[in-house]
Amino acid sequence: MNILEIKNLHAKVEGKEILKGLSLTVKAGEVHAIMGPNGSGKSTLASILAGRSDYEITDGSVLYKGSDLLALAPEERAQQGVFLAFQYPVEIPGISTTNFLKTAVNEIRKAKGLEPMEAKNFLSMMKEKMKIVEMDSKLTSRSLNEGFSGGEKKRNEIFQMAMLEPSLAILDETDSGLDIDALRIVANGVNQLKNADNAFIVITHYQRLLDYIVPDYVHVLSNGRIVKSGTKALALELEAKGYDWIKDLETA
Amino acid sequence: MSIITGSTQQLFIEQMNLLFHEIKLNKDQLPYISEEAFERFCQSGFPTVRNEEWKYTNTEPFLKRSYSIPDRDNVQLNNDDLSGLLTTFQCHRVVFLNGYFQSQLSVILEDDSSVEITAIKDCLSLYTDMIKTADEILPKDGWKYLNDAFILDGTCIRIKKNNVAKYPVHIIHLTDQNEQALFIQNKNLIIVEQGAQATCIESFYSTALKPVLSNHILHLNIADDGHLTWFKLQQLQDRADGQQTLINYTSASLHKQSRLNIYTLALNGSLIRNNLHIKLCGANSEARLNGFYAPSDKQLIDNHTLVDHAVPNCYSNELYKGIINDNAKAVFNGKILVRKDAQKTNAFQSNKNILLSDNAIVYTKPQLEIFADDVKCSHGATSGQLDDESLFYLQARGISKREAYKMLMLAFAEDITADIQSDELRNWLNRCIEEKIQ
Repeated sequence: MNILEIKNLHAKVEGKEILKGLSLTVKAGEVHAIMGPNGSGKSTLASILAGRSDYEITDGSVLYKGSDLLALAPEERAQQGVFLAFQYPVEIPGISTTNFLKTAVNEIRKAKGLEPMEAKNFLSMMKEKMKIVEMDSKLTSRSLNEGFSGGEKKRNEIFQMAMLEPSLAILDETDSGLDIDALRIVANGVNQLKNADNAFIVITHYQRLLDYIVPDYVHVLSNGRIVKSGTKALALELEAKGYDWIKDLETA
Repeated sequence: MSIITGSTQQLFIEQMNLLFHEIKLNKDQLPYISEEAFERFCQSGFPTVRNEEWKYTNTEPFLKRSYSIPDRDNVQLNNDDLSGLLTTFQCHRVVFLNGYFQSQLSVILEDDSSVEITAIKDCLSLYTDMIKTADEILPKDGWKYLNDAFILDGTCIRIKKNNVAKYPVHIIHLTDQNEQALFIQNKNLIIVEQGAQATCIESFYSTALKPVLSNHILHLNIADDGHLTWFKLQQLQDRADGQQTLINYTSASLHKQSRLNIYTLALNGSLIRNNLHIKLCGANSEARLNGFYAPSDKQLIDNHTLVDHAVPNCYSNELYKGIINDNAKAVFNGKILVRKDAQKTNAFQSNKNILLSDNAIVYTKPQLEIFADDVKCSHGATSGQLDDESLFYLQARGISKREAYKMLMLAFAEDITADIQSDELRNWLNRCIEEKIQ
């Protein structure tokens, strides 16, 4: 089953064209890695899929489980199972992680016509999912991401992903700023959540994360388009040759 | 009655003159009247926008109508009528209805001998000096003189030496009147004796269908080592034809090692003007001032504060936050005065505002006047919209925009109540805030 089908996507931000005809199909059970140099459009793609409003779609289409994704508000996308792990998770003073997730879980349930989750069940679910990312339970009673270290913020993103159980998770440079231990924990979390019904898009600048999360496909994004696709071997090749090689490929 | 023409000022003074003459006929029933103070009022009038302290707060539209002094026994209420206004926890309760104390609605819990609650009438002669000192702290303007000229009623609450009050004291100012516009004045005096501790809540409610103009004064006096936590909850439901105007002056005198935490939650009122003047007159005293205001529609909420560091080694910390919606207006003016002898002063102030609409306005003005040279002082003021990035983050987790807005506003506001130790008190106040923000 196709989870995501992007066709010839063109997008502008502040009048500047960033995506220039991007196409990508992601099936259930797959992990796709998207790599590419800075400014190639990786984060733009993630933002568009999550529904950030700063972008203007000028051409192309995005189907999520067969329906038009771009017509949905950000919260509707999340309610239907799209999840973005933010590159820069936002600090929100005054809202605890627990309270935030309880609201999120129940808003998603409400959208599905379900009753709010019982407090007891919610707490035991929290406990269980916290283990996946080895998260300190003290963090969840603190204000959302406030004063968290870089690693704690990224772990919190994966923890939220575990709680919301999305069909499509997009990890936007989740590895940036992580030390090797945090990287391993984050990757373990993803590997535990992976199953035959969901799909992952892992956006990264470096090959390093892909040692831990093994992708089925690797795509190279350059200048707003996917210029090369392959298996994990492509990531290793990129690591060895650098992105200049891609630029040559593009002009060739 | 002769027909009077002239400016709002002249008309208002003339109107007050008529009321004052009427009052003099019943003076035996009132705690006091002062011809001298009334004369001073007549000379100064109410402060207009030409007065720097009232630059953005124009009371004139509210002073044009004719007000009456309420009859003492005109309105009858029973406990059921109060049910929505009461706390969820046990309190001593002092209820004023249209400015008059209501013994049948008030409750003094007998198993708490630390608190003495009496009519202000019985205390005036006992505490002449204390009231005189407190008067010095307040601004000398028409509103103060008018309150000094006469009041309808008031209470004196004394927390006895070295006692910790078992229950909070809840003072309720309720107005309820459907026939005529009312003018109401009260004066309350709170004395926290040496080493005593107490929590008080002062609520202002209105169910009146007609306009009410209230001009209240509160004096707080905290003796050495005393602790007082004071909550002001201003929820004057204003209706199209029932504008609620509240002028509320508060003085606080803090003696050695005493502590005052005062929370001002101004949620509703056509026009609210708070003057909170705190004098740290004993070494090592501490004052924390928290405020939240949320004017909507055409409401105007004005908070003027003065923290006067008169002696060395004192601490003050002030945090006021506002959410301004629709065509509403807010004013914050926070002054910190550090006198020449007040070395080693720590004084901090912060004011943060969120404007929810293009027509919402806030005027914020921090003022520092420092005459000592060894002090730590800071102040800051911000105003802006809700953060788009935070909003998107919540939405990206499935939370609707409306719910996300609410969560962010509550998080912003509840910063003000976060340090309240009692869970039930904090939750009760947060629910009041939530009701307004919805």
